[in-house]
Amino acid sequence: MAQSETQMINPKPTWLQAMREEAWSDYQTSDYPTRQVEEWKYTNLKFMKGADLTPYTDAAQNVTAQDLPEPLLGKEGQKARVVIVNGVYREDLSNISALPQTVTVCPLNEALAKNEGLLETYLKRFEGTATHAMHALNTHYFTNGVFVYVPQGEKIEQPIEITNVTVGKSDALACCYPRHVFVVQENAEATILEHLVGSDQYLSNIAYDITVQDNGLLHHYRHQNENQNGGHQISTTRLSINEKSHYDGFTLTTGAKLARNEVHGKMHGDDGTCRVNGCYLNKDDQHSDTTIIIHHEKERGVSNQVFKGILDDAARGVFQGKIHVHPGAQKTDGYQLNNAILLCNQAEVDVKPELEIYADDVKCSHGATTGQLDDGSLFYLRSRGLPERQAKQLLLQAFITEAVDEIEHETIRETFTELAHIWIKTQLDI
Amino acid sequence: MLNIKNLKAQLEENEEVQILKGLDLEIGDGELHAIMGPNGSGKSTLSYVLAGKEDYEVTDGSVELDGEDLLDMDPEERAAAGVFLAFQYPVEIPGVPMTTFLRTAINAIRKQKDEDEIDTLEFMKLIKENCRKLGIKEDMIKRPVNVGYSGGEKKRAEVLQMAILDPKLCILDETDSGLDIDALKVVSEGVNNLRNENRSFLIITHYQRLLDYIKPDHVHIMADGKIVQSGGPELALELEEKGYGDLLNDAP
Amino acid sequence: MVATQETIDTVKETQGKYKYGFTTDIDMEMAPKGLNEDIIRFISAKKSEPEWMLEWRLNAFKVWQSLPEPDWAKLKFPQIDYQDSYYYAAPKSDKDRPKSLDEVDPKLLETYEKLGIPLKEQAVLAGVAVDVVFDSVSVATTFKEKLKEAGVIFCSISEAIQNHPELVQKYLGTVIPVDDHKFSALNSAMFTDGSFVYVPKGVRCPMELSTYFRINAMNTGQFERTLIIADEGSYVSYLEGCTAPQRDEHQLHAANVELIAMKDAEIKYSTVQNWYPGDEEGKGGIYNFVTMRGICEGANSKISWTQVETGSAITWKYPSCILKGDNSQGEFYSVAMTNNYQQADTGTKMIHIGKNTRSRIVSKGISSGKSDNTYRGLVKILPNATNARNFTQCDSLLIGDTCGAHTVPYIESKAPTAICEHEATTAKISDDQMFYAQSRGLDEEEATALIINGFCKEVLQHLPMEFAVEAQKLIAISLEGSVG
Repeated sequence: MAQSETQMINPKPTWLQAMREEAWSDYQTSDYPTRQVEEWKYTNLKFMKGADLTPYTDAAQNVTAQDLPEPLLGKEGQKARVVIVNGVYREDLSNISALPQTVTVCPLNEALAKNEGLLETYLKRFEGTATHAMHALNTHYFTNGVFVYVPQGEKIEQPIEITNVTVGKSDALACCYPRHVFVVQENAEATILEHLVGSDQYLSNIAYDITVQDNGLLHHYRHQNENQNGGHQISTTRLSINEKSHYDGFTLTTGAKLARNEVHGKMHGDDGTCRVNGCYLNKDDQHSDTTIIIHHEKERGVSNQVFKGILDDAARGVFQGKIHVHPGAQKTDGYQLNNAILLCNQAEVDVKPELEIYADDVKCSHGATTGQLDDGSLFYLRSRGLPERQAKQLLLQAFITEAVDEIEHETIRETFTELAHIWIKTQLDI
Repeated sequence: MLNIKNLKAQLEENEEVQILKGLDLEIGDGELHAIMGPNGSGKSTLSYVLAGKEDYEVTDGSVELDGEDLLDMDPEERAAAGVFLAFQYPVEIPGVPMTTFLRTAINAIRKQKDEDEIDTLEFMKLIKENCRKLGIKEDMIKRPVNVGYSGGEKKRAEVLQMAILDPKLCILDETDSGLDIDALKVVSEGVNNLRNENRSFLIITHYQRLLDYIKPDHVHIMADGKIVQSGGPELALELEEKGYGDLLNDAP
Repeated sequence: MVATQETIDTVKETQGKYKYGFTTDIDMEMAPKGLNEDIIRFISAKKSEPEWMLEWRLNAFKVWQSLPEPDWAKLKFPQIDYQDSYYYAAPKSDKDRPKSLDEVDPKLLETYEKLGIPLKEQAVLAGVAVDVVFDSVSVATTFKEKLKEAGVIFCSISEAIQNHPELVQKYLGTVIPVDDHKFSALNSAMFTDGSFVYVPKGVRCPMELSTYFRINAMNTGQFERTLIIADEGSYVSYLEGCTAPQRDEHQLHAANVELIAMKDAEIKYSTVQNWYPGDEEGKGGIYNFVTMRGICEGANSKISWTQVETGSAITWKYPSCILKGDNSQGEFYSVAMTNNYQQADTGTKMIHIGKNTRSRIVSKGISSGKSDNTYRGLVKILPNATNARNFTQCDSLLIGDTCGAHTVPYIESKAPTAICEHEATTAKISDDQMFYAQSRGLDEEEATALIINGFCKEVLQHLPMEFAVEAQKLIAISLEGSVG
């Protein structure tokens, strides 16, 4: 495997070796995600049966600049871009020169070579955070990924775009394991934008280790547009939110045959804010699962989960969100909302919004609705001259807007609104 | 303009209850008719049936607008044909700003008529002018449709839509409900400004109060799904005096 | 405000002691400890049951042996030693069963008076027909004659097995299959008594039916079985109250309750559960593992559950509705209070199968002390349940920072025309509310009781009047020692 020279398949440091071995034993001993495991009650991984789990990096060089999707903010708007193909860093396709020199944006293997201690600290930061067998697999196999390190006081305006491409196989499931480590230091700010795409059959098993230090701010937005016919994505995000720090996350899900977006947020300091929002737009036999657990461990933390889903045809949406308020996490403010619209008889939604609370002076609430478009609204619009299809589109767009509006970054909010509106206009047969 | 013959209708989901039981009504060009009647007489049903709400099923009779069969049209086709219903309870649509909504509606109607989309400047001018006339603040129309509007704001927004969409038949369903006297004046003035020889009105109201401000050419009294008495503006005054009980007893 | 004043008085009077923690010194007849086929044969023989009933029990026992313990609830308790419990205990006087209330052992009657239900007076005054289950055996059913006139059958399940075998055979185990889970199988094998109600077509049951359960003997498990059938167009309201004496060891209670509502029928089932919760250190108390499920079999039928759960060391209970008939309705109104080391994991399942089915869930959880209180519920809409509607409201209140309040709702919808709405909140009693009440002269505990009764009002108002008053008192008592 020629790739292993430049990537991280042959880890040299013993701590990484140990981490990978431990992950392998975790994978073998932990409950394999089946429907009997509570957290995987609604999402079935039977597509992985018999798959070759080893990283499929052979096709990493098959992608050329022409194959890449346009940057999400357009060619003009987007200057800094990192391209990962099948979990392998493609320096030739990436461009990070537009970023200030003070900021580190590089592949993990480069970070390992230049500043091993730093990478070790932030990869190990999450040891002990319970996840699942798929995450253990990523830890065991991850090939490469992006290391973003924003030092103290540094505020970068320019969004960093990560384009994650997976080239699958036509006759079997290819498994790829990108791993990203983002660190925003005290009083620093950054915006990371991701576009996730692919072709043929594959499982993109992605993991993120994200730390936002005191007073730090990270905007993190993802457009998950994996191949609808054979693309699968399981992403596991681990967040460390510290004192007065702020994380604003949003995932727009339109792609993948099956996707699981799992987020474990830990509020390690007082006055932190953790926003994990998104919308899932699915049709045909797509399956999208959003699983979030936010741990409020310190006082006055604010967490926000607003999700909207549109499900057409035989699509299935799953939302499992949990706010866990630990003893002593007084004045916590936790909010959770999941609204889903089913457009077709075969569509299904499963919702489990959970509260687990061990402190008395808190304000936590959740709301969930499932249903269809409101007849009264539809009639009102039609009585004003809008054809039925247009009226439905307008109502669906309005429905989605309430989630997309949670994106704090103005330009990206507009871009994502546009992406969601285009999906509603072009993908739905209503 | 509008010609209703022997109209019978019932609720789609409850076929046992007939609500309109053979209603006849003719409205000429430029005329303003008021329909009054006690609660449950079928007034609101009439407005919904004319606008094409799917909850109601027409079992008999016909409705023609300028000779065209209205009952055969979808709600949006009726809107393009010139029917406008000012709702008693305007629907809230979170996430859609009123301006976006108005523009979408104008263009939808234009498209049905094979006309070009409205130009931005022209649209802005149209909105500004009408807002000023109706005393509508600009920030209100930037908010989502009817969301968080007061009762008066909602009704003004209905009249604003009426002015902008330029219908030929305006149906006002209990537009006076929930309005204080000042709002009632503004709304009535808005309606009066829209009156002309090509535009007809059907005003549905429980009280005669509204008719102090909007003078009808004809007044009809509706009871139990039919029009039971018709007359001039004096009928409304008589009703005010006697109440529905007496008047309906007097009716032939 | 009468109830409130009473509440306050009761709080003062009871001084934090479990009011119903007395034992009654009555001669008991017990079967040997342990759970095996012989005990089942013993119980069945004791009750002179027909062969089919024994077979049914023995089969259930086999099923029980094969099933694992359910482990999904958020509860912590040591492995239950099923062999260290008595499964049959009856007052000796049962041998000469009383023919009428006058013949009931006066000591028993005294017990009921301590419980606050003097059978004769109160039953007559309140017009409530009462079936009393003492440990394992139903001892008296009042008003049997009057009910008979209306055609209503209200008796102990043992009597029903003797006198109405066709009804029991037809319906027993149809709503809760024997193999549903470990506890339902245990109950099916071991049930000793319980109530049976049959309301014939078109009959509106002329009075509230009521059962009072009490666990008296030491180390006894109580496994009552209740079966209520409301035939077409009938109505019945059934109340159930539970108490148990203070004991250091844990006692097991695993009841099964099955409700069947035919076309246009309505069943209202209310519970005030006040089993012994254990002491301040978490010693003793009842393990309350109850399976309650109703089926709205016919069109336009309705089942409504109301529960006030203040007792038991552990409550594991999910009164559910299977909404099979078109336009049928299910309701669940619940107050669950936990204090000290109590654990409650309770909620409901609403399974929407028929068209236009409606369900409503209102749950109020109050945790204090070192307790844990979980709402766990499922709303499931199957593809044919067009236009189904669900509304769920779960509110939790925490008193103090050493307890836990949890909400675990599941919503599974496969019908686009269905609308499910779920809301949940968690909060504490606001300082403003406390200050306001205190500035009007209430002390902290009184103010808390007052506010909590307000918090629960939406549920309590669904209880029959005489139960509502008792429930309010219970809530105040359960709060004892949790404030300050």
